[in-house]
Amino acid sequence: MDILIAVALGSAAGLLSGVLGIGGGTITIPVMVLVLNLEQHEAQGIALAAMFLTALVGSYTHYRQGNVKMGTVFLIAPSAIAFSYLGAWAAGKVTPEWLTRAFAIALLLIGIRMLFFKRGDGVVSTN
Amino acid sequence: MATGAVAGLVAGFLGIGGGIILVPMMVALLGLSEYKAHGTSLAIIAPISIIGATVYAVRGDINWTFVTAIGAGSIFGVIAGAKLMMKMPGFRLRQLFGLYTIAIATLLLLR
Repeated sequence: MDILIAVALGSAAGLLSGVLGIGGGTITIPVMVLVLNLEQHEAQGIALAAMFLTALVGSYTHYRQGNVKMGTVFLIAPSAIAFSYLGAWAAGKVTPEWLTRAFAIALLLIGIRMLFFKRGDGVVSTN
Repeated sequence: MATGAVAGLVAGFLGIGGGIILVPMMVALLGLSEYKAHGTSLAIIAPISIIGATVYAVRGDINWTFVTAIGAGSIFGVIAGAKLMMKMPGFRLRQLFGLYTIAIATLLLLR
């Protein structure tokens, strides 16, 4: 049963990932924690590993549609990779309870920002 | 580069891809179109997620059965989504997504 939920969850996350250009962790992690009762660290690790596949296939599909700007990828990726390592290391230093709280607060801020996102509007302040 | 640093840090720490930060920043700061930002974001998420996942895997925080199940579902989803993007008003979807994240955040905080 859990596996079926996981496949359905992956499909939903992938769909939104393709449309919005996000990794899908915001969808998969809460469901893993709330429905599948996984611990926060484990949910995050699984999300990142599954996301690699999603991002690879998704970026290739976008690339063929001419929607990947390679210059920007090379500009942003190096520091993103370095800090991803740092972030993943830091996550190992906090308790699951605090990690869940940090995750929830980040989601809340993201949600508020997205709610006020208008057509063609790149910058919307949240404060 | 700062965009990458912020996105990477959040991605590794919270297990999300960072696209949620990358997309708006690339549109606002680098002047990419929405469509291009989405595609480019996924291309940056790929290396971010593999590095983050490796750190979690070394710590023993990964259940590979779930990775396979979620990964399998999402591959089909993401291809459909990437094609669908070309004919969808992204901002509406984004507002819906905003409502969803606020609801989920509340559930997680109350837990």
